[in-house]
Amino acid sequence: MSINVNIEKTMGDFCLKTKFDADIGITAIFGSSGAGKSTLVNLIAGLVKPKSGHIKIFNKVVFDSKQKINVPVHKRGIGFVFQDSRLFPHMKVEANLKYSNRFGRRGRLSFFSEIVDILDLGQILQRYPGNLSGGEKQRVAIGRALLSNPKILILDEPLTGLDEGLRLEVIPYLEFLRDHSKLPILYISHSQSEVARLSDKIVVLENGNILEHGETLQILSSFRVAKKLGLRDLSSFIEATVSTHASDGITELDFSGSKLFLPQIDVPVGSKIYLRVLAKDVTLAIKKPEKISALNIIKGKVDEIVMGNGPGALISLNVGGHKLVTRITQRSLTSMNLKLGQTCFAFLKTVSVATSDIII
Amino acid sequence: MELSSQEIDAVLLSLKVSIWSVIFSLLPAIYIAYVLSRKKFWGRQALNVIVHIPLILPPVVTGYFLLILFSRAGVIGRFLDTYFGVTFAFHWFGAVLAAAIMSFPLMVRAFRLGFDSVDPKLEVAAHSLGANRFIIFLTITLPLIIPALITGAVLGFAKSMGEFGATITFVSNIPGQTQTIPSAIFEFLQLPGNNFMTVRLVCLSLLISIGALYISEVLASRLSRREQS
Repeated sequence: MSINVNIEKTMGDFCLKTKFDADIGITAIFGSSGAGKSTLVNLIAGLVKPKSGHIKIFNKVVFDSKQKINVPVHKRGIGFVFQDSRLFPHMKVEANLKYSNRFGRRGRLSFFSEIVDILDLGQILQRYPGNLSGGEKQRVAIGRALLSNPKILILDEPLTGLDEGLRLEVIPYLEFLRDHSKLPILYISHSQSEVARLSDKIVVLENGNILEHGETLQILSSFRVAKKLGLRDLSSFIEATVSTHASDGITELDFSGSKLFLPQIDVPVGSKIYLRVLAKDVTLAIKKPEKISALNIIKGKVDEIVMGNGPGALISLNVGGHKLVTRITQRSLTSMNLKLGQTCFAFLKTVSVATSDIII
Repeated sequence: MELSSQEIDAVLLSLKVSIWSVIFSLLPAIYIAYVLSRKKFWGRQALNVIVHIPLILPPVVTGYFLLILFSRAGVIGRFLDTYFGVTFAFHWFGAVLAAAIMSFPLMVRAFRLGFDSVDPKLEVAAHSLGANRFIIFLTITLPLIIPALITGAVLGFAKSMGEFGATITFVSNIPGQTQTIPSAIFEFLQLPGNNFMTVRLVCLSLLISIGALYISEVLASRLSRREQS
């Protein structure tokens, strides 16, 4: 494992106790504010000293309370991208990018032009950070961290300060990074859609403890996490491939053998997109409904039933290995006589997959 | 219209004293300002008060203390005289010392405001890029407070140019040796018939002070404009 963390830290009433591994690719550190996300990354980065435990980065111990090892921040080899980008205002973009090479870890500049190209920074190299847009600033910050020759990268809510448009501008760069950099990346976020789109693995934090740790899409639709996040927003995140743009304004998608129909989406055929389906927007039927206005009918097997405290129940369907969650009343559950392993049909109206929930 | 040699001496000595005063104070003032702005330690308030004492004491009292400590019979003065052959009392060095001590709090205050305005998060960012604390100070913190450094240095220079009470108490008012512009003006005012010379020196000192202020403003605004472009 590239990153191995097992630490404890007490700050006033707050107690953080975490143990997890992370590897190449993006591991999301997810949780609401106050869950301990920032504390955790500060501990890993060496900005705050843990009370006990150890932190290993590529088998090099950077902290160990028993062996009394505590490598200082600047020698840990961690590239950091902060929410507020923190570019040096008195240096041009180029000098910001080369800072580590000149004054820091002596990062190699052999990647300089490559990274400038990938992040599209060529046009702004000679500008001061004061008049860059938020998206440009974050791209420079990402480039600066990459050029510091880091062993791992920590992205601390890099999209949080940006509006929707700028967020979409930066996301493709992060995806490129995930797919090509071969770096372990810790991605701190409180946004379900960001995490669903960007990360492979997820660590869900709550009150300083790890609630869940595993595959992102599975965990986000798991009931245990959902109960903590609030059932109202419980959603399935599914990955679908665009197959056709029909002439009647409907885009057809493949989702593990089933077809999905959405109002025209402006992406090329063959591209993968993520859809967020709210559990309360999914209706269940035992038989395949006929002559019904809903277009999206998905066949699956019941693989989990959880009774809510109120009148509701949560049903999780297995759709060709993917998870689709729905929320129905316990009364419906009884009258349908749903059982584990039973095949049933979930349908959602075309419009119930709202465009704003489509994460492209 | 030509200046008398006594006036020229006073102007040159004032410039010399003020420039050296700023040069000597610069590094210690930067250090103290940084410590007061960034470090939390026991006795921080005490240090703050000590630095500001020259600002609140009557300058004559500061001069008196300087006389006690740095005159040839004084504790420090005797030591410096014996081992280094340096004398302060009635010497232009003494005027520099008096000016430096009087202007020190003003410089520290200006620098400290500068350090306070630098976001420590930028230093953390530099740290994460692999720079050590000293390099961070030189490459991030110091460049970011250049406007404050200019302001502080000009304030120190102006204060040194105007220093009178502590200087005259400590090194007296000897034309050609320790007579600065303010003490020359004081001397001319004591004697009748020197109105013209007095006004001339007053105008000169106005000119120098306003000139210094103007240059500092131009420098500072040029710097901030560079970062906006």
